[in-house]
Amino acid sequence: MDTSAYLLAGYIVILGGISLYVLSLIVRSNRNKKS
Amino acid sequence: MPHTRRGLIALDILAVLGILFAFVIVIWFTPVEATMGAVQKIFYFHVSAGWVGMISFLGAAVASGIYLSTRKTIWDALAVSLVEIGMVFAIINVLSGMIWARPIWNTWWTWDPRLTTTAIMLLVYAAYWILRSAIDDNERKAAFGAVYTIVGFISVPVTFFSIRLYRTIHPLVFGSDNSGMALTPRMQTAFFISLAAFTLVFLALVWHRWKIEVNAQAANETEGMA
Repeated sequence: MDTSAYLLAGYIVILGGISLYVLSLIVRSNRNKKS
Repeated sequence: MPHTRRGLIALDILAVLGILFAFVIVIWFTPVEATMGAVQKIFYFHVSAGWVGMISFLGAAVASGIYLSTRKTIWDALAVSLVEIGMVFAIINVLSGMIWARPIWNTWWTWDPRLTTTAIMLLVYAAYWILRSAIDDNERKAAFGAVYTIVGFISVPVTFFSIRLYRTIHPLVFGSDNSGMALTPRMQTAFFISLAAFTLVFLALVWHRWKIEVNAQAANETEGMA
């Protein structure tokens, strides 16, 4: 059974999730500096 | 504080390098599992995310305890940061687990004890934000949040031990009397590298998030005084 598509989806969720959270921290940090 | 800033930059670089290294090791160094195929390689990061999430909730309970005994807002800020980061990793853990389960269990979700207790744990910590947003007074918000975080932590060991206490289809990584997963030495090495990499990412995120929360609370207090 070829399950590599699921592996790719899993990695997108893991790396994408962490990246999105880092992005949210950058946005909030910049907002803090401005105020 | 230049030393602190340099330390944070060093931790950021280590975390990025660590996670890249872990991905390289998992993709190229570990064998493809015979029955599950390539999707088994989600396991290394799925477990690491779950572990870091639980450590984060433990840290939040400890920080809350320190807040209640010292009443210093810096500890409330740390608890807020840890609950948020714990939720991020717990959600990543659940989503990656669902993607693994689809080809292996032939379903995205089943009400297995581990999955059910994880869902309850996530709901418990989601309610933390509802509780905080419902209280206007900052001191009361921090105190209620701290008590809730400590009580809510009960859901974490229940989730962790659910696969040891109940009949479950969820795999057990390390178990006594050969009940754990059969990991080859290469798989074990990759697993521990992945755990270390996620821990570094977790520490870097907590440091940044804590800084943001401390600044936000300070700005909030200044606004309140004006």
